[in-house]
Amino acid sequence: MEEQEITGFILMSMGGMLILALGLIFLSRVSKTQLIRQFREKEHQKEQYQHQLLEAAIDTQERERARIAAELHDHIGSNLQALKLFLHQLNMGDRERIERESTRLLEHTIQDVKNLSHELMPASLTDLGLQDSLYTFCSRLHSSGKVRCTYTCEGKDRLEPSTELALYRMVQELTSNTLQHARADSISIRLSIDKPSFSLIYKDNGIGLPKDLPEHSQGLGLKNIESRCQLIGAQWQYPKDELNQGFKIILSRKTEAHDTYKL
Amino acid sequence: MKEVVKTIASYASFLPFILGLLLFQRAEKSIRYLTVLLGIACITELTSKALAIRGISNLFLFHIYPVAEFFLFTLIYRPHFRTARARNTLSGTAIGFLIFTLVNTVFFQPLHEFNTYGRSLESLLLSVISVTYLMTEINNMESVTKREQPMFWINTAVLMYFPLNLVFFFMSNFLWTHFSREFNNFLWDIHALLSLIQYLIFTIAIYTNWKSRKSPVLS
Repeated sequence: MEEQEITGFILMSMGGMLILALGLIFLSRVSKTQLIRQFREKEHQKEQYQHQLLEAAIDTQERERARIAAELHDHIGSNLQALKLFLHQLNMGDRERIERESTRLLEHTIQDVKNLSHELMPASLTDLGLQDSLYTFCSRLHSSGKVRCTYTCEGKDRLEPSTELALYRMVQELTSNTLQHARADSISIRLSIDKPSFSLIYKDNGIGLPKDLPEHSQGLGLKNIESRCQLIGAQWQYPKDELNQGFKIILSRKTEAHDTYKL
Repeated sequence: MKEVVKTIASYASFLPFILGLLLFQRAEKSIRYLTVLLGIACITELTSKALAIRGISNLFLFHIYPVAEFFLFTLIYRPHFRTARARNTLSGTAIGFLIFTLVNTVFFQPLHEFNTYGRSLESLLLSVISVTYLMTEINNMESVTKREQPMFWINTAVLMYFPLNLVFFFMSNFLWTHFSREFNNFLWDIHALLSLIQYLIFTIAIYTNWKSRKSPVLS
């Protein structure tokens, strides 16, 4: 082989390797930059979503406080005010009538306090558990005549107090949504517990969710539900009904990995 | 001009070595191993020149140096491979290369011959290691920006030197025995240029490590 041919061969092989090396370095840099950008965008979206959930949770808390304040002022406060007036008139008028009215007023006030207390934290939840509390809740709802409510339950296990409370609140939220927005006349709640797993299926026959609902829901109530699910390590799904009627949500937890109280 | 480049290339390892020594205390592990490697390169270069001046064959150095070089490169790369399997493979390869060099020196290419097989194998292995590192780094979300990552520069230096010299190292004994001295000198001049580029990139690697440790890591 002549020197020129050898030179050409060696230089070409060096040149080829150089192009390959530079190409690899360039490609890896471009891929890496793109991956990092995608990763950061995803992190940013996650942060924004968490921020929205937190905002929703704080907003709900404030609304609840405002509702309790209104309840205290409008009913309990005004009852006690009336009672005070009656007591002032004890020595002036018909003592028997005033005592009767005062007792009636006191009974109403006590009942209002009991109702409010039950709404804030149902005693049956701590004492009897989620299954019985939901049964009571559904019975009251059904008895109110606003909506038909059916409730089925499998499993007698008690879950962690935080999980039971979170599920109870979520059912309250869902029924509130149904009554206010869904124009439904029927609700069905199916609870299945096999500790630590559980599954809660809530359905109504109302107008359902908008067809173009994004993966992360927009409504305050549903955001609260997502927030609570995250806290107890549960997943949520909005499966579409075959006839595309009504609203359905499945709340479930299949492992024991996410119970924050265990930590 | 050629002589100037050749002379600069001969002593090109001294600049990054001195810089590495000055910044040794604050350097990360990879840079410290690189500094040791550069120190060995400087010693090898000086010894090689001293022997050449006295008319003594210095080819035996090129049986010893590749082993030390490869071993230190595996130490540099090892912490940056995430799986135990990859790290153990790297360690196994270093031991395998040592055994190969011993066998090659004893049975095939004695100390007075240029170590073409060893040097070529080393070039091939380091080419594979550097490409593998490049591929695994793509998915590493913990990396800081490329310019500030010393390993990026070390790997670039390896990728610019070893693959390009692979064919040349393999053919060097054949070229020495079948072609003129001038022709061989021309090819070794090209090698000297690549060597110079490699050491300059090593200097950048050491400098970026010093800079990133001086200021907060950017993400």
